Amino acid sequence: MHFEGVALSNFRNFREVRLPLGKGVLVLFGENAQGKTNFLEALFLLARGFSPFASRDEELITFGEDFAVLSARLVERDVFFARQVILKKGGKKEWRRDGKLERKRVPLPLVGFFPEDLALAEGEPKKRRDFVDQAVRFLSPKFARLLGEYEYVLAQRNFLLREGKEEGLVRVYGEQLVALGAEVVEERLRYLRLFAPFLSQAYQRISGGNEPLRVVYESKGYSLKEGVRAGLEKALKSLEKEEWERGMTLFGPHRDEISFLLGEREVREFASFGEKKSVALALRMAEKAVVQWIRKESAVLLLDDAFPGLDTRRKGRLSSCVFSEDQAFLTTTEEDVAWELQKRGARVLKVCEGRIQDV
Amino acid sequence: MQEGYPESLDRVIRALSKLPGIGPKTAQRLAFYLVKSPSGELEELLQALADMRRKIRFCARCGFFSEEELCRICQDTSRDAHVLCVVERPQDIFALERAGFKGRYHVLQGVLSPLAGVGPEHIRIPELLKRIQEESVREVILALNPSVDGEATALYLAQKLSAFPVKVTLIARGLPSGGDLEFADEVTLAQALEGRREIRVSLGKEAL
Repeated sequence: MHFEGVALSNFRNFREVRLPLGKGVLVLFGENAQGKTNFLEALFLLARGFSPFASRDEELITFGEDFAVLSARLVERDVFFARQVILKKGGKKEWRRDGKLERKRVPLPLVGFFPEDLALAEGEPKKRRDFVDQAVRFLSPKFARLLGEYEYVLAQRNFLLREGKEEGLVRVYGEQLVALGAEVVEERLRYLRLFAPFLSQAYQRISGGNEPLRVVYESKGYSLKEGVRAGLEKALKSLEKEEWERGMTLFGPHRDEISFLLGEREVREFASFGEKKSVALALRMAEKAVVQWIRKESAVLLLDDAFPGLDTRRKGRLSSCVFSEDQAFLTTTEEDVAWELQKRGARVLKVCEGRIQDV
Repeated sequence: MQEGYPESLDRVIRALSKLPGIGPKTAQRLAFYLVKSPSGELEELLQALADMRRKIRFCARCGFFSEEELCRICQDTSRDAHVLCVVERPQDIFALERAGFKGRYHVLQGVLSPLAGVGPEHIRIPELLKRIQEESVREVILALNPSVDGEATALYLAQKLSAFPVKVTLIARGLPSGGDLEFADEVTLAQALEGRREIRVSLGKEAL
């Protein structure tokens, strides 16, 4: 898939932007706080249906305005179509495809790296769980609902454990928790099995080294040895007393850790800054590879401020990766980087105070 | 509300817009209609509302709408008193009646949700257990909505009812009849697959 053009009005600091786009590498160049990231956010929102920064809709609308409109012309498997999202202050998002209301949406193949993604390598476990949970949606349409139900049941159960009442009802929620939790974990594992080889490959392409990057799924409070469901059921029984004492659920996918290993070293604790950044980039590149494998179609790549922190060789290898993409959007604050990429055939756009122009 | 409306009209619009499914625009339209409605029509509506207010209450036994102590269904002796169907809201009974159910009902008036402050004692679960002890119920059918809360409530009831000599069943989930497989959503279809059953065909003489 790729964007043929995009039009934004009242989105963040873009009053009115219309931009024809096309295949190839596009570099958005400009100083800080001019709108480079906002532009990538708009593309991400149009394709995936949510903001990568989990912002509330109100924050996305230009200050003082009541609504924002984002439109894109896209090509998917040689078919042109238009997608539009209208954000309303205090209202729900409205989605349209070729002008018609779109109720059920499938995420379009697009993957983005943002500087915040460094937290995937060094942040708390929740960041990594969220990464997998978001990526799974491409593979499993029912996953979002499943996870929502799991979290709902968990909240009910924790509430009763904290209050220390309704033993019978806690048992009911325990059963539901095990059934839903097993499905959540199974879906995550199914995804990670597919993801692991792509990750190792993506890391090698960026680092150029031989140290393989591996993923390990660590269940917390239960064992995966005899199967997910059996493990969760066992934990439900054995932890019952402790759970009443501590007033919360002590096992399940909401506590699990997904860790990354470079050789035998755990990335979170032992990797250098450059390695962590490379890991974070590799995670997104691998996510993209999986999307392409599932959809049998190229995905759009967004790289926000991806180069700083990498050494020259890694930078070079990353830009080679970028030039093999169907369509990629990069941002940079460095003029040299922009010209270097232009020499290699990229289209450079200057972003200044909410305006975007070819240079 | 808008400026410039006479106060009494404004009050009607406000009251109407509190009703479910009615927004400010519809409330205005209804109010404007009522203001100049033909003679008798408004009086009829007022009378009907007052009547409903005065007469309708919930059946002392099952919790369905009724004008007497017991509702028509509970009074009907031709119905099967051995089968009791548990539903969330009184309006669910209309749907089951259309489906031709011939047993009796029990309305819970809600589903369990501790976070929302709804525990077992807040819905009509104690009344249900009492009925099972007092009436000659042989089967309890749980006809609750297929939501997380509905399911939790069903599981909870199944647990409670296991102490009584009654059969407990849960209504099946799956495809709507007359529906098209192609357009079924994946969740419903997955449940239909899970709840699949074996077909046994006994070949009659004609078939041979």
